[in-house]
Amino acid sequence: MVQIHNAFTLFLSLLVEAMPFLLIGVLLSSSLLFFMDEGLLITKLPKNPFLGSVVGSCIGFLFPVCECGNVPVARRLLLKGVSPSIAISFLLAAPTINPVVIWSTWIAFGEQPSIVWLRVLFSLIIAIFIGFVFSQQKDPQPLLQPTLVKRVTRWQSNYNLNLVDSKQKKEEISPLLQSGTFLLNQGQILSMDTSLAEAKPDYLPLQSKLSKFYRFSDNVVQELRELGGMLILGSAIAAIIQVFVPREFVISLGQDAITSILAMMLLSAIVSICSTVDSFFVLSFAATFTSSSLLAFLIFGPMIDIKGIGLMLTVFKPRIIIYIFALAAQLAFILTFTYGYLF
Amino acid sequence: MKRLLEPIDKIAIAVILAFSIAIGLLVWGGEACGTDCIFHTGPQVSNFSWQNKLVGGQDRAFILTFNRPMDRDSVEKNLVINPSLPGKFSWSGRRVAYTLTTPVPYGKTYQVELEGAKEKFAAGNDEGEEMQPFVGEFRSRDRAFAYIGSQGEEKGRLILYNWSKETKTLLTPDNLVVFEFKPYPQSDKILFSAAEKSSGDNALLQLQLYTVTTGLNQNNDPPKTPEIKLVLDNNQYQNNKFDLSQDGKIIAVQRVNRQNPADFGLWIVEENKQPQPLGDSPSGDFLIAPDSKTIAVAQGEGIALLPLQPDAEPLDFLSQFGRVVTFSPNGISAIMVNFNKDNPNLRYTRSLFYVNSLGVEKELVNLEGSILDCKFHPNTTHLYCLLTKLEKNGEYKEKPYLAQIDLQTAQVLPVLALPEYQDSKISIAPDGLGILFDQILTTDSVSEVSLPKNNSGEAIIDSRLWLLVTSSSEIHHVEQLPLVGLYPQWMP
Repeated sequence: MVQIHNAFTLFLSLLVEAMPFLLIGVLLSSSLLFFMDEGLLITKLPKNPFLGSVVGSCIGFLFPVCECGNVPVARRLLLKGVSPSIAISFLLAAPTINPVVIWSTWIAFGEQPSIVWLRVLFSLIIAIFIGFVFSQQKDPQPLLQPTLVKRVTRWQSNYNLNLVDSKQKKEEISPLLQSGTFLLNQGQILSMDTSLAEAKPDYLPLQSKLSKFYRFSDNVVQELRELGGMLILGSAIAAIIQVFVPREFVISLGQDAITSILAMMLLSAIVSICSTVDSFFVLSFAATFTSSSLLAFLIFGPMIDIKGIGLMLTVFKPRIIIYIFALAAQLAFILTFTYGYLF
Repeated sequence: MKRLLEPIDKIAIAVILAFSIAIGLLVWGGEACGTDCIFHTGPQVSNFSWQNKLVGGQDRAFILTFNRPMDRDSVEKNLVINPSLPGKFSWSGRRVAYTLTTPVPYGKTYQVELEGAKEKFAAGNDEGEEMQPFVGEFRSRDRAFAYIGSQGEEKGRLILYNWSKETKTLLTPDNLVVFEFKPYPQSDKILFSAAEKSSGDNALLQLQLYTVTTGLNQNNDPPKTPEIKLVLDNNQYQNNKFDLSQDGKIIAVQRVNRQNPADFGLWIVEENKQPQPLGDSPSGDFLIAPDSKTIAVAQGEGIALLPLQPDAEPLDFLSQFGRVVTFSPNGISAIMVNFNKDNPNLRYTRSLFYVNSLGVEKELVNLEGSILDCKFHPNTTHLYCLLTKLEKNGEYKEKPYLAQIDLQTAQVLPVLALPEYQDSKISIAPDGLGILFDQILTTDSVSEVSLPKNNSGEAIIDSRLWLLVTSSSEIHHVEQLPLVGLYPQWMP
């Protein structure tokens, strides 16, 4: 009974902590949908896979979201036709490479500035590397969930059409030409194979600001419902794991330089703590763990945690998540372990 | 047809495998490499806050930072400081602070050695790995003091005596007669008031403020010649007493307008700024508090605490006290004098009070004689005071003596009786070694123009410097220094 009680407390605390960030992410994602011209976005992003990953990892500076808010934004970027490698770099780096997190890490570790800048540096290296690896896959289809793929491919064909005949006005490309679409009231058109969240108003005739706002809030609600569900599920799983694999047990795994890194990485995945506050959480372990293991926690935690996996499943296929997870874990270990060797 | 493996599968699996091999190599390399190679993860000291630092009396703790959680007992047992410095440990995470119980004795080089301490992980029950031996070094400042010469070519000149190197330097030129001086906190400069020798009897009315570099604690070979800089002129205003803030950034000076003697008050002088009057209220004796933001000024029948800003409102007014004698170095407490004007039973007596920021007001001693000067011992456990005893054998006579006062028990222990009354000041070494004071012979008959004068305006014709070596026991050792001069002050 006590365990259920604990699990529920943990579940609620994870949810309360993550929900505002998810909301910020969803708001950002929705504003991207309505206020950003994707054509402009695509042409501005570098074509070179390496540079693309670098830019992707730094987008976090524009969208200060933590690891719950980055998924909706990454999803939106993918829907806007951004290449998966850029989106993956963003997904991995954004929770760390943003002003709020860097500032909070500085507050917690101001006396050990190396922790702060190494957190940024190592996160960047990992995000850029994994983004680069994924850029080798030219066809995004095997990476993404089928529903997402349909939206992306249809958008791309439309975008290409736009490029072929630039004089042709947007509203002339009727989505009605596509199969499986239907008309909503107010003349809004929606294809049947996508959720409301992925509606693309750009194809529609220019509408009044008010209706634009309505559709913006519709989109927010829809996305929040969809991703919020996944967050609740993820938080529940994370809470249950924490009850059955208590923190004390994980901490006790840290017996030496190597195992303390592994223990801290495991802890970071399990506790699912938001990147904006995780430096304060990990500060309490500064007395009993090595700097490299604290660093491992700070790097790996924001990239992968259990409550976030649910959110990522709405975007990527499971085996892709396993690849990202494995690569991030290995790189985090290699970098922090090497740091421990040298310092 | 669906392909079995997409390019991403191939690449990802290949990279994962490559990383697995790399991790294997790293782990194996660490094990195989032993303790003697650069790729060693063993515990070590990653930072020592006093490494190669010049340490002064204000520096009371150093910090050792380890790269691993350490077995605290093993660190505390194995830390050796040579020559030894008593202190205590306090831990915060992987850092240990060693707080000295007494200030570092000056003029020495210290080695901090740590060998044989072991790492300890939270869950590690086994004996951890032994750390790499650590040797750190720091140096304390040179033991030195400054005084005003009183004989031959030294007459009226500021002199620095570096006790550690046994060198004597004349800091000021022959044409200036120095009256008062205050060392800067880093000992690199001295602020002094002086007048041209040619001003003769009017010297006290012609004081200007200067700074002079000391070259102390700098390894210049040959030593640099002292550089003198005028800080405050006396064109419009006559400069009287001054004080220097503990951070060395603000000078407070009492000034009188040469044209209008009613325009009389405190001014503050900050670096690269025009001097500004502190306020227009009349003020007497003053002392800048150690926080370098407040000044205690005798005003009317009490002490006003003013912020060190032009036209500032008083922060507080202590009506029961008439004088602030000294502040403790950490600024937490002060010694004040109550002239007992409200109490008919204690009329014509003075009470010495210990006052601190927690609101404690403790009477230390009540006497009929005068309280000339007091200084806190750097440990702030006790106080050294120059007091006088009133003798009423026909005529009133004040006999000065040095006393040690315990701040806890308020026990007064006279340690040395001085033969002649004098308006001396005492100076206590920043490392607590001893008290410097002078013994002067004055004359009011000879009208020597170039002689420094005491506060009564009498010319000083001879002076000896004395050192009282402080000790916790009742026996204090006193010795005359082979230097002739007056107003000796330890360099911080």
